[in-house]
Amino acid sequence: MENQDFNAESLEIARELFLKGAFPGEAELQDHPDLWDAYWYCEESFFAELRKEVWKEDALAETFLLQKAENTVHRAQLPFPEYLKEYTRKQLSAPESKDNLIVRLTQSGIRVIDSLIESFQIRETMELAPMMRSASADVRSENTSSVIFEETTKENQKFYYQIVKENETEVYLSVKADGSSGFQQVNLRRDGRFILSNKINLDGSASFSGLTPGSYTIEFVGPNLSKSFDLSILVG
Amino acid sequence: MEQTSYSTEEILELVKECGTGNEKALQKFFDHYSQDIYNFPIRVFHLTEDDASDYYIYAFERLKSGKRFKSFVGKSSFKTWFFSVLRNLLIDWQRTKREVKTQTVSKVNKEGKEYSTIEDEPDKRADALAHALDVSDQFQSVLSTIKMENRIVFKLSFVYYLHLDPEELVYIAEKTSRPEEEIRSEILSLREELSNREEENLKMEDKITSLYLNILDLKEQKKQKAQGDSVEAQYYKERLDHALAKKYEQRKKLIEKKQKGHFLVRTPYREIARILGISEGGVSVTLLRVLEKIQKKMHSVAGES
Repeated sequence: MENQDFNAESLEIARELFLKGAFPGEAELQDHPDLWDAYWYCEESFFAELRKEVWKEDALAETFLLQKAENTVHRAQLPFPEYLKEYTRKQLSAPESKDNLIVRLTQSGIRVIDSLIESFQIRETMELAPMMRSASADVRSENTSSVIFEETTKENQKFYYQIVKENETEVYLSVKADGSSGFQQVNLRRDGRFILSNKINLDGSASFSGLTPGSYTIEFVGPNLSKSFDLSILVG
Repeated sequence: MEQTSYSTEEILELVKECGTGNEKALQKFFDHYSQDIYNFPIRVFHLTEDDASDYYIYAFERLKSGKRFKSFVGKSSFKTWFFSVLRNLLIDWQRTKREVKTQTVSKVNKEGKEYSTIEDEPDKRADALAHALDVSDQFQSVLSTIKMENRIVFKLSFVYYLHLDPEELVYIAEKTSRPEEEIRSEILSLREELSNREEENLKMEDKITSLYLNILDLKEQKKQKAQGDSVEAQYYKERLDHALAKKYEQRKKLIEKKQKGHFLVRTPYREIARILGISEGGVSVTLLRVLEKIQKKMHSVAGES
């Protein structure tokens, strides 16, 4: 679905009209010139929803779905993206990814793929962890985008990870262990090989810049304790 | 997908090898079928390309060990088995999906203030999608309140999108004194015919999206080349404004067509009449009544909410 040029008020009016099966009137259009756009958006969304398959577990529904797949999947196929080809090539011989967070740098921002995470909780957060880089205050380029997510382990320890897109292919990574965790440094491995290490500063964070696409392991290390997190960066 | 086509025996052999975890066989399999895996959620479930990419990664990770290939023993055709596996993986993947997936670009002007553009207005978009889902939920719940014989006419009219429930199939079979299996195969072949028309619709949808991308591109060009009062800037401004107006007009026309329901595949009345053993006039009248009822009911649901 595309973004459109209309405001939230017009959308609300359009939605009510659409649900009633009515159309915008002259008076409404004078007050809200973008009402038709909003109305079309409601219809587009509705049709898009109608097209979506509704999950049903009965055999008849499955037969319908498989028939639709046989009829449509091979027709006018969209090309398979290059970065997915690359991912397939690199990851085929690696063990099945479990608990690996994937961050995809796209033209319009950062996309977090968290469907491979099974054993702990992760959520995106808008709260900036203290002393981590602010996404908007420290911006140098118009195309910067960032994402912050927090991991909560079974022991209820929280870790924050902030990724800022520095340019088309590089990211800045800032990590933080919440509270008095006892961790002293963060090691970074790429494709299993040690590449960098940074000391955790007084506020509990450490950062790395210029990270290029690849599979990373972020390892928090302290006396007699360590904790690691797998992160893959894709561009495409 | 690579255009090599395999014979049934070759596929059987390939899948068998994949089942043993043979890396070369798996490589060959993904070279050949990755594009199908990626297109499956787009064509069957109308997911976006971004969601299809997420799904692909999930499906690939679950398939690459080869274990799942052992379940193919050749009882059904390879395609049926493969799509069934992709369907089950899609159900699993949907369950893992979290609510928030993207962080849009924050743009900052020279004074350090954030601003947004047509491309990134996250709050409005989220609201709009939530509203769309409301409409869809309301529609589904209203539809279930329509009397079965009328609901069947409506569902048959949009049978490409709306599935008949098993009890509805039984109802048709009893009413027309025909075996359920016969009705089922008639509906399947009807959907196959309709899928050709849906393909055209999807192309039209792709056209709307590509026009939208053209517009964004032209806007970007205008920002870069048509600034200032120089002759060159004025020249670009005029040309780009003209091109933009044309694209907006093309897109508007397509959306108008879509608004009128031209992009939805409907079953011809004669087909519905044939399946139900009633007259075409009967189908037309019932359909009008059902549409009227749905609108009224949706109106009252909207009023309540």
